[in-house]
Amino acid sequence: MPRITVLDDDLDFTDAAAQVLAEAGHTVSVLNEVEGALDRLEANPPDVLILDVMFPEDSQAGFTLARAIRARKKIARLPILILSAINTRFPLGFGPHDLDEDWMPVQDFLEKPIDFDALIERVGRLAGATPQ
Amino acid sequence: MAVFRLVSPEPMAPVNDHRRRRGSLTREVLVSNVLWFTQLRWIVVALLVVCEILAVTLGRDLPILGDYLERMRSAPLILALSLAGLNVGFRLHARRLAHVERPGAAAYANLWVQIISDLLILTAVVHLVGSVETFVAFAYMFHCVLACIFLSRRDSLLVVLLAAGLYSGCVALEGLGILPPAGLFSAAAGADPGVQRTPLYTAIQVSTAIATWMVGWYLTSQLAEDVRVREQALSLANERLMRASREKAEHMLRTTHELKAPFAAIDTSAQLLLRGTAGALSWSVRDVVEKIRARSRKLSTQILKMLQLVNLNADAGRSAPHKQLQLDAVLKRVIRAAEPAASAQRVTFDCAVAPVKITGVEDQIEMMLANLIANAHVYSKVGGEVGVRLRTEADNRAVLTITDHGIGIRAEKLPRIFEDYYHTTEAVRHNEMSTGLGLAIVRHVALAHDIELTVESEPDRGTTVTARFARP
Repeated sequence: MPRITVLDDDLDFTDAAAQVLAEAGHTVSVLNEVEGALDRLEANPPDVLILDVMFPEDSQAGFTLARAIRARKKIARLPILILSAINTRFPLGFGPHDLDEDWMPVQDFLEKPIDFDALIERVGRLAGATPQ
Repeated sequence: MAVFRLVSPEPMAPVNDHRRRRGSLTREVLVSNVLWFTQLRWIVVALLVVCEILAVTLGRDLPILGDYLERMRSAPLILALSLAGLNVGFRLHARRLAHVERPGAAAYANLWVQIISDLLILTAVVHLVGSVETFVAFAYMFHCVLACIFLSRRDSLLVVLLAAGLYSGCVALEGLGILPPAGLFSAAAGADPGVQRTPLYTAIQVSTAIATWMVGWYLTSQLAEDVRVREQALSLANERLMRASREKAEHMLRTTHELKAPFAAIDTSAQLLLRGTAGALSWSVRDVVEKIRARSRKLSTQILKMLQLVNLNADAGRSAPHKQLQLDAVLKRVIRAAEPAASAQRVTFDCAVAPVKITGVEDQIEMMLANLIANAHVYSKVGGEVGVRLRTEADNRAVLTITDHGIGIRAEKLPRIFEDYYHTTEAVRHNEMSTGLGLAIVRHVALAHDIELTVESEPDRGTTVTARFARP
């Protein structure tokens, strides 16, 4: 049973996503802050991380955390699905074509509002494709 | 208890504020100047070698200069070799400076050593050719002008004063007999004894030369300083523009997030209800929840497009940087992103996309294509097909044609389709998510990129949009 961690400061979203993913057969844990998340992920690595980009104090905290994860041996290969409400068409926005090992080292990208069927499908693909 | 006091920030100095540090050189300019001097010096070395060759080959053959050239043999070569040796050293040092984070003091030291060694060698040349009997002393003027161009006003004045000092010193030493006269028209050269130095003659020559350098310095340094100040002002203005652009992009990002996030939350909750997470819903309740979800998505899309339009309007005031793009790659990306939504209506894409390069702002081109492709599949009939053709015409212009077989647009409404917030009744009937902004965005991007747009349409038969891009 794949273990999923959802990291997002939006409590409504994390509660809803946890519920939906649990119904789909996953074991879900939720984190709402970036601070301390890296150590907690390393201590208890999930099979897939669902990660928001923007957090209250840092508009790119998600990217920074993704790069930090890649630098930790134990969780360097953790599949990451990035979520964001960011408009992909602004200069500082990004899209799937920006996925890059150095700058945005994540496996996939979904724009909010998230369609839960799409979320379940992407998570299933990531959990099945890249074992920890 | 921590205290924070909000104070008004210091007003930024105006861009053309002349109180800024005048004459300061950036790291890149300083290192570039040092290297450039070393390149120029090779020309001087070459000239000295030519003089040596003339001295050796022509020697006694010239009627007046014969003895002089014979006497001067080896002097140009010695000076050339000295200069060449010094130049190699300067160049090696300068190349190392190019990789140093803060070359500041070392670069200035290199420059000054070059200047001093040049002036010393020039003084030797002036002495050998004739310090007051010829006009060779005006060669110092080259160094004064170069100093004005490459150094600050204060430093260039120091160079002029150094040149004046060396020249005056040379003349004084010759006059006192410490330096034997060696010039072209000196007695040792067999010149007419009538060409003798008198104190008055010497004073006039020296003071005329120095006065000329001082006037030249004043005029050149003034111009050079003005150019440097304007260059700094432009550089500062550019920095501010870049900063403002970054701040604006960051602000737009935050605004987008803050506006979209609540609608994303409404959508999430609606999805939970529709999935039955909170229990089974009656059909009437399900219907209401679906409307809530649809409306929140529409508002979310509308906000997005409004922000895109605001961004485009703001960018129209100052042109965003254009670069060469692979249009086919952008188009394929857009089609891939549209496929999930299109397949929900069982609409397929029939694509013939050739590799094509254009020049433009990638984000904006992608926005335009996304809106055109979205319109094509959204206004198609269920199970329809959207044809996408990208090719280059004989005049090297890229041409994109998007054809749908959907609801079409009535002829009398065609002229208005690019207006902000305009959408036809038929469009709204077919697609309740219609915002009326998609083609307004297309219009902005097309105008900014000189793209010719043609729309042909027939109600119930479909629409063809042709975009002719400017030559890359």
